[in-house]
Amino acid sequence: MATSYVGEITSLTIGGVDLTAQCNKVDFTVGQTALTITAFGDAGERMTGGLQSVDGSLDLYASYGAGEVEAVLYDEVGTGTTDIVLVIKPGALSASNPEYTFTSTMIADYPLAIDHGQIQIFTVAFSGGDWSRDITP
Amino acid sequence: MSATGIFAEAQATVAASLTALGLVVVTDIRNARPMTVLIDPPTFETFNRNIGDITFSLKILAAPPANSDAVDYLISAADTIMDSEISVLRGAPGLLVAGEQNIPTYDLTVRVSTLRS
Repeated sequence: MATSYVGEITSLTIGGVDLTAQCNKVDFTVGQTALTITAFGDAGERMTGGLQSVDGSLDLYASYGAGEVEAVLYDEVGTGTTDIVLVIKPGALSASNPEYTFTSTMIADYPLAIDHGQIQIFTVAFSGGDWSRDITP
Repeated sequence: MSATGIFAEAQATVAASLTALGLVVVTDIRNARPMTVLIDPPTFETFNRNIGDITFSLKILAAPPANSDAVDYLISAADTIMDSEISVLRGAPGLLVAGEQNIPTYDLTVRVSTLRS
């Protein structure tokens, strides 16, 4: 048996700035574009991996000031060169604790909403760029 | 022992904001008396381990009995708090039983978010 504390983000950097303390949700989908290589004589469609694909989003607490969430998003939005690095769990990288790196991804925009009496959050989408997975300690 | 951490920080922030409005703030029920504002301990939800979404109940205390003089004071003080930087979510009249007295109150719910680091 094993018990784990659930859903704590261990490490998140955006554009080299550590925003772990301001993030409570990350989701992403990575893979490769499916390209057809079907040939005459094949009974069904055959596919192969094309360019890498990245789609994801982050929920970030709206903190303000140098090095804080709003300033980092302002610096990164629209550049298409944003690097995001996420470590899944505490401790050294390993097969059970991978690090995902998204390189040259695009944060096309960021929404800012203020709701009376509610905590302010940026929900930010990113897409494109390269991705890699590292398990090297 | 003095309280520490984000809840103590949040309570101190609310207390300072109320004091800046000219109100007398108490955080110890033993010191609650008419013409003060009592801050109850917080309830909270977490954004993550570093950030608290913290709610306080404030009790504005007027001098008994609960007649129109008391109500005039209570709704005026409630308006002063609402018309400030403090995020007031709701308010309702109430009573605080202290000793053998029923102290007329106005109970406000206010919300803050506190970032540990």
